[in-house]
Amino acid sequence: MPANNLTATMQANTRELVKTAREQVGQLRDLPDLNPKQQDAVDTAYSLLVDLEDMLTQRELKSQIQALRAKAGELSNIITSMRKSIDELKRAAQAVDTAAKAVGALAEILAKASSAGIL
Amino acid sequence: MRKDTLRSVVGASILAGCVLGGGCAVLTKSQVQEVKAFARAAENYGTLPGQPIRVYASVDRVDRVMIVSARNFSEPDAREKGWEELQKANASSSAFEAIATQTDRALDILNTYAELLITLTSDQFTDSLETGAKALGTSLDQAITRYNEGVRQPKGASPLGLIGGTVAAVVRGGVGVGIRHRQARYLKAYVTAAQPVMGDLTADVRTLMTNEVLTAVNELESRFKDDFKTAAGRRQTMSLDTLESVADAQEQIRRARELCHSAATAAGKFSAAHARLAQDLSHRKTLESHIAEIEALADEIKQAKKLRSELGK
Repeated sequence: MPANNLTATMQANTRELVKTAREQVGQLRDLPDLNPKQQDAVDTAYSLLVDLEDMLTQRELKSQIQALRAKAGELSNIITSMRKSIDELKRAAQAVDTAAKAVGALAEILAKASSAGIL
Repeated sequence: MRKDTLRSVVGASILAGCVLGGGCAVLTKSQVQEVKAFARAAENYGTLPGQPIRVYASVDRVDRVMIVSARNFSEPDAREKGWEELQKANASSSAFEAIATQTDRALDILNTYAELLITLTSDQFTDSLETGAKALGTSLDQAITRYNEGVRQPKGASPLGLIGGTVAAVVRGGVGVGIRHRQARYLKAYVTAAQPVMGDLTADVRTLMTNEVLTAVNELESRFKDDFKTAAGRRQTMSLDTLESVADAQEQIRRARELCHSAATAAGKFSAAHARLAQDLSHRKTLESHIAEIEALADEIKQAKKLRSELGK
């Protein structure tokens, strides 16, 4: 089993254990004969387990998103090449426009030279 | 007339030879349609998977506030702990929000990729070429007219004929075919290179949505229900505002569950549209695809001829 899969499995197992513990402590919260001190202790334990469970959920989600980002990075290399190709196509299309401007300038020169009697 | 017929036959032969020889495949209308279908599947997809995580962040906060509300504040310690637990509720909610944003960012690249495919296969390059070729033809005719007026006419020489329209048509046709050919080549190269990445990425999104986020949302709902029961049992009564918050959270959970399913389904459609595009570009050429390419080439030549007749007026 690859290391990252092993870590993912361990994370999932740990979260499952915490969830079970939180559910069991949750059942104690509903006991009717707890005094205020006991109730406070059970509530505190329950809150800590909820916090821990959320942290483990966040960690699992982050691992998954890390994997997504790595794959998205591969696509980003392709995107960089795509942008270059699009620029090349733009340049190829605009080259004719540049030539047109040069010929346009030539027409202007000919007109000026003709009116000045140079030609 | 004979000259025109001969020119058409030669043109058609060059087109057919060019395509059937396989040397200059050009972008066809069906490929452009496939790219558009893929882009439709990609539209706004990037923000879908982050949304259920955002809902989790919101409901998680309501649940943790509910847990604090069930405390017996007659115990002095409980007040301090309650304060800290509310702070942790806010921190946890922010952490889930941040994860949702990271998910959106990671997947935003899919939109960028689809947009670039659309640009790569668009008419904007040949449209720009058309404008340039038209300007070139006009400028050339102006220069020849000036030359005739300034040099040939005073010398009594016959004026040079105007060739702007023909030159523009040749440039439009030749460079246009070249651009279409390069577009087809780039499209095939990029879609082929992206196909394995796209397959893996969308499979990961499906797993994330159905295995991780959906499970987490379902577990949160179960926890929320238990915490509601505990708080209601201890307090015996609940304000209308609290009950409304609970009802809103229930509704959000229902929507988050739907979003998980639709994000996973959309990932599947997205992947299928890309695979179809990649397959369309890579399969062995059939007579139909040769005909489509010849038609695409003929369109380019038609545009060139149109330009020549426009400038010749």
